[in-house]
Amino acid sequence: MNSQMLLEAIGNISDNYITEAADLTFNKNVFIVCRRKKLIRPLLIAALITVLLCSAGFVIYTYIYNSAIGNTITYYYTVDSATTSSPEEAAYELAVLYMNDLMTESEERTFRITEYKDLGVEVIHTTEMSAELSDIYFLLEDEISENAWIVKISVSYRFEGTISPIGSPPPNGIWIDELYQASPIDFLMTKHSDTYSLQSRYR
Amino acid sequence: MSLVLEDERIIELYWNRNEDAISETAKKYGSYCNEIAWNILHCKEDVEECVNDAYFHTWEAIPPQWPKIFIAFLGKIARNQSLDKYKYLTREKRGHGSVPLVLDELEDCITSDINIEKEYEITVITDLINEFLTTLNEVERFIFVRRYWYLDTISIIASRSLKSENNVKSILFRIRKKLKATLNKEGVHI
Repeated sequence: MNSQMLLEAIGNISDNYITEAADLTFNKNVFIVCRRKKLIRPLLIAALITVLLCSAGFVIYTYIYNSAIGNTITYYYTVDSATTSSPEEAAYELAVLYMNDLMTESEERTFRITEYKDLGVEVIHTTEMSAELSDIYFLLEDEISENAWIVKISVSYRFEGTISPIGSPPPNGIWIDELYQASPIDFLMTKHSDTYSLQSRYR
Repeated sequence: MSLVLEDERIIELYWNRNEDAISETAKKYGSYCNEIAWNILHCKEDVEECVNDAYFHTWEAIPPQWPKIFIAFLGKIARNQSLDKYKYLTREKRGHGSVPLVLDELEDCITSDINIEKEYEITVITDLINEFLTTLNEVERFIFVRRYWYLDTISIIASRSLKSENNVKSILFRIRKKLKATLNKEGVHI
């Protein structure tokens, strides 16, 4: 037998195979399926890369463009001159003003505190600070006086939006107990006459 | 708008000896038959002649036959007519088309040209090839049938199968190797 006979033998193959190869719709479907199969892996890889890039972009966006709590507005609290008010009480009232302010919507921030609890203050007289501590708080010479205090605010809070460096609110309504002032410089409280003022040392 | 009849209706026309059968066949399968003949002959006049002969042979064959798959039935007639014409032309040293290339390729499947054993009738080989085709996947089968039954060129198969020509060539090479192994395994040394 030779190739001519083999060609002849192939000529008599089952009608189904002849029809299968002649049916353009079949061909189209088969090869579209094949091409799809061929495309699945590159598509999956492309999708994975896209997801990774988007995630990385989101993380970078969250990290760079979210504002920290560093609110440098000055808050004032005037005491009743008829009553005696300690710096601790004034610091607490000012801390309340501060926290309440963070609970309002603001275009300056990417977050809003929704609720807080366990608000407390620690007040340190600037004149009682060591030179080393003063340096840590970047206290200027005129800030070290009888009427100036460093206020440390402790509070637990929940928020909406995004805060740097936390990002989005943690799941399950977890309370955050750090104010994340971006540095440990806390607040400076000063007193002029009957009025206390409080401002973050955040720059 | 000209309606295309179902195959059953066309076969009925043949059975009723209605000459519209041929025009309806030409309308529906004219280009299909032309393509088969063209792949073998590559000559417009020869193709026309073979396709007309194929219609005539179909007219002669139906009745008594009632083809189950009319397109394959017709295609086989067109192919045989074209190969006969090709043989005649090559005797006259006028051969052209895909046949020499296809025959060259099919030589790959032949282990010995000395052995001309009559017991291996073409039908036996055909049965083995039919069985072999079931072992191929759809794409391989398509490429094999398009090359060795329809005698399509490699470039046409590549375009039909959305593959590169090199890819088609390598698939065909692998299939021929497999076919040779299958035939040898069955004791057929063609």
